[in-house]
Formats: sequence, structure tokens, C-alpha cells
Amino acid sequence: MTTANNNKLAASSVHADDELQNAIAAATERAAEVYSNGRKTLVDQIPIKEWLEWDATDDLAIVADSDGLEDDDGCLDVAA
Amino acid sequence: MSISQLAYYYALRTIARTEVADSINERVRKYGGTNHSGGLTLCSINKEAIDFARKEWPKYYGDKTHNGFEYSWETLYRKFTARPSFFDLAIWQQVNGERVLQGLALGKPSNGKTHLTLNWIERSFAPTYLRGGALLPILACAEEYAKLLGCHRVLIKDAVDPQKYERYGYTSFKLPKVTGSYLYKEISNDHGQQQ
Repeated sequence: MTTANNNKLAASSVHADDELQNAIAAATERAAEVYSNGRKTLVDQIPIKEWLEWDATDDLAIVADSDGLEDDDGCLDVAA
Repeated sequence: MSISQLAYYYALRTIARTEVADSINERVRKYGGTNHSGGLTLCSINKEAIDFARKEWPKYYGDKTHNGFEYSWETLYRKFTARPSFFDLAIWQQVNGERVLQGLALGKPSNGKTHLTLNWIERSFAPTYLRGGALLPILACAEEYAKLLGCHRVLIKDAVDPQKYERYGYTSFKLPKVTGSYLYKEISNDHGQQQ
């Protein structure tokens, strides 16, 4: 088939665009960019000696926003 | 709120959790640590997690530990999901053949995505509680998600025991004209900001 015929076919055919697939592809692309130099999570940063002795049995691990359900400063951009 | 926005941020949260799960697995494979971090599943908050928190966690509430929040996790979750870029995490652990919910967390990025704030965290106080602590996977996932969003720092608002966050690199600071106490940590991000 010639190029001209291909173009005619493309112009007259129906294309499906998948928003979900596009969004996931964009997220995957972003991750590839962020991790292009390798991964270093909080876990990776714990010194080996500390990891071997890791004990968090007394971590209270409770966070309770004093603004409750109100919209708060969490949406504001601030310089820490 | 478009389906593509929901899918984009859902995928980023999934990627953040996967990176943290991989890093824990790598540590455990190389150096051990199943006693404090083994058998974990990091996932989104769902109905199963909300039901578990409502039915099981209150059995172990008490004055010496924690007496629950003013709001149910169902209410909090519904509130946060109004922003497609919200942060959520449910930590499950396989304990003696049973699936136990060890921790829940909710947060949200600022409008310009300069920072991600953790607003709500709760962990199980059952005898089967996570010995390695819920904070490590929660903070690790929040930091990875923040990097993916292009944020410069992670904030924790109104932590009950702020000193415990120091070993994870968090420091107290006060926002001018704002109530509440904050902890923050700068995160390395040289990859620009998205959406």
C-alpha cells in the first residue's frame, strides 16, 4: 500500500485514546526521571548497624491534625 | 476531578510504595530484619482497612496508649480523597496466619506542591503491633511520593510524640500566623515539579 493510501486510511479511520493508560504512562515516565540515578529511600538511608538493632516498639506513631476536617495551611506553599 | 488526574496520582502512590517495599525487601534479604519488618503489605486505604480500624483498633485503646481520634478513618478518608493528589497508606502484616492492620496515614500536598503534609497517622496498639514501627514505612512512602510530586520537603502536622521523629531526620519548626506544631524534613529532589 502506498503512503498516500495509508494517509487516506488514517484520516478516515477511528482512533481510541485511553486516558487511563496515558496517565499511567505519564506517571511511569515521571518515576523513571526521579529514579534515573538510583533509589535512596528512608529505609536505604538507615545505617546497617542501626537496621540490625532496629527497635521502634515505643514509637507512639500518632498524628492528629488540630484543624480537624477544616482546610488548613497544608495547601499553602511556604518556605520552611 | 478527571479520571486521568486520579489515575496519575494513584500510579505515583503505587510507585512510591513499590520503591519502599523493594528497599525493605533488599535490606531484609541482605541483613535480616524480618522480626521487625517482615510480612508487610503496603497499600491504599480501602474499605477493609477502614472496617478493621473501626472494629479492631478500639479494643486496645487506653489512657496509656491512645484513645482514638475525634473522626473516623472513613470520614477522614472521604475528606482527603477530594484532592486527587492526596497521600494515603495502609500497612498490613501477616501475623500468625492472620492479616493485621498495623497503621494508617493520610496527607496532602500544598497547592504548588512545594511540600507534602502528613495530617493523620494512627497505629495498632494490639499485642501484635508492628515491632519495627509504623513510622518507618509511612515516612518512607510519604517521602518517595513527595519526590515524585516534585516537593521540596515533607511536613508532619501535630505529631503526638515529636521527639520520635528525630531519628527519621525530622525537625520542629513554627509557621508564622498558623496554629499547630510542625516537623519538617528537606528531601532531595533535582527532578523538577510535575502537574
